Amino acid sequence: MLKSHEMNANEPAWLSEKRKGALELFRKTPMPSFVYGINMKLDFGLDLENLDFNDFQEPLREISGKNSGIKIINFNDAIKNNEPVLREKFMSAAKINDKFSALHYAFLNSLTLIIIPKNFRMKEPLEISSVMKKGILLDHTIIITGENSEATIVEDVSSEKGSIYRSRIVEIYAGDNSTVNYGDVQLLDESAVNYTVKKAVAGRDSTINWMDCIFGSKITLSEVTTILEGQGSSTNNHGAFFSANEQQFDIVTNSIHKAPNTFSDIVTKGAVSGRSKAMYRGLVKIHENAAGSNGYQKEDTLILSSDATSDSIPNLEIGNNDVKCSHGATIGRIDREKLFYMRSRGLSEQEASMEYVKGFFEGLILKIRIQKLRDSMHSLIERKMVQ
Amino acid sequence: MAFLEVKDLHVSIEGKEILKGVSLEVGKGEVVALMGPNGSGKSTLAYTLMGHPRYEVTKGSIFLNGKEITNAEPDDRSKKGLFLSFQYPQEIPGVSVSNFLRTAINSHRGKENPISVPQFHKLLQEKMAMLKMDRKFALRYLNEGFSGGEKKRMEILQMAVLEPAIAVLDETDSGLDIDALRTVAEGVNALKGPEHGVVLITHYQRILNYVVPDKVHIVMDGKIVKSGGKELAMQVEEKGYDWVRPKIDA
Repeated sequence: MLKSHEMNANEPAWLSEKRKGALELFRKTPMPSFVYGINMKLDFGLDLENLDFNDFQEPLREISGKNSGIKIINFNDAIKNNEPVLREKFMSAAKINDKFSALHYAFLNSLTLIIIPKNFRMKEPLEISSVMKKGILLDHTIIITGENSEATIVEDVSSEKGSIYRSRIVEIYAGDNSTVNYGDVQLLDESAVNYTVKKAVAGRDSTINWMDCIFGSKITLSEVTTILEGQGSSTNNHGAFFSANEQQFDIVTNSIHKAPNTFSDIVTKGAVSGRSKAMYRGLVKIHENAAGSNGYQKEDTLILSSDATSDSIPNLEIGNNDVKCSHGATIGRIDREKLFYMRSRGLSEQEASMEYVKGFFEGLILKIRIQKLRDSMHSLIERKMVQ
Repeated sequence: MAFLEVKDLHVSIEGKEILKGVSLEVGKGEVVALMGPNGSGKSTLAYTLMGHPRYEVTKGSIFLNGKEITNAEPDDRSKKGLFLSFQYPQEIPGVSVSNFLRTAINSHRGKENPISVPQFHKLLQEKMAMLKMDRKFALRYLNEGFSGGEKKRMEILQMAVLEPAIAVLDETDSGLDIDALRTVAEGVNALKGPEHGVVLITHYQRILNYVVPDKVHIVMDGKIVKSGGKELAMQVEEKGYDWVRPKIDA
């Protein structure tokens, strides 16, 4: 294994120090057990200690969208010309909290800094499309929006067969009164292990809208968190997942209310088929000083085969009495009576199941603000249904 | 030969025999009423005709257009021209009436011959107008949050769009006010004709004032115990089912 600080000879000392610290933590931190409750255990099946970092790959990436005025800065350029911003924001929202994030910070080999100036309103979404090649990719993005700006970013990732490990951390810093819409569609090949953390820090009266779609990979560990730091800030943390075959998903969504009059709404819908497994955990945490806040959380899973398993743990931690909160989770199967009803109109069992499952996701799809993503959801679900 | 033929049908649910030998013939162009008290087996017959997996045929057979369908899949029966208007229609969240009906029509027409979108909307609007339904219903999720009467109207709309050879209406009249009943009856009458037969399952004679049956069968305790013309329905209305009952014992 390489030493982390040998990664890039041009890196500033502070970054090398962070890498060294991360590497130490990586070595000290044990792997999580991946055991949840009585029935749920994920088989991670990849030895992080013995990853071959000669397999490092830059992704094939395309950033498109007509948005002159936005700054899109690569790793070297960020180090050379934007060091103070990079130093301030890097690892500030997303800190090391497990073995995977430690690995990420020790060895990350790809970084993009995106700066949206104040008062800038994006006319069309910024699309970040990547194809991961064989091997390993540790990829970091920092997004900073200025006051009163609006940014819409849609990311999609796929990979070639033979991808081994992808680690992706996105840190978003939303300036006061800005809006960030972030859509992500993960379609990695079912050979890849995928670790992603997306964390946003919401400034005063800002809004963070997530739409996180998890369809691909062999194993996905995903966290999407909004830290409502500014008064009056809000977040819609929406997500969809669909696991098939032998896929295993471990999904976490969090809303952390740290200021008064903040709002959060977590909505997650997922389906599991084949012999796949999905574990969902969600948290709405309201700090003591977050009076007048509302936090909601709802998770629904549909189990499509007798060999698929799923569990969900919604959580509330409330430190202030002047708040409104609710949470709930359901796990269900396709209702045979509804299927019979549809089949009596001529739909085959497969067609009826397809309509049923699309109908299950429909309420969530209608909430998607990014039109292109909304339009592609049906075909993405259809593809998973025939897997 | 009648389009729908039921021969000595015995049906059990979870080992308990509900239908104890029902034979029935319905031709195209015919309206056949099945009347009977609650629990007589009328709905069991309706579900069995449509192929509900919970209903086990232990003896006898069902033919549609000369082909045996006793063990056919429900969608196969639908494609062969059978339709069931459910007594309790299911709610299908997230699936709009419009999308669902277009999928159903296309299942009937086959992959090579889908209906064009404008053609479908024209058809749907025509049928909705006939049933005095607000256009907005096309965009609502199928039966979700519908009132009892709206659900029944939606059944008739589906029937009108699919134009089955034989439509089985399972207590479509129950729970309807008189205006809704009239509209539903108009829908049924619009389908009637030389190419379409109707099986009207009902508890009451009321709907038969609007849809006039060619034959009336009285079902009791899993069997057809009496058959006649439309006057039989009037007699039952007047004298009640007990009037038929002693004759079984005799």
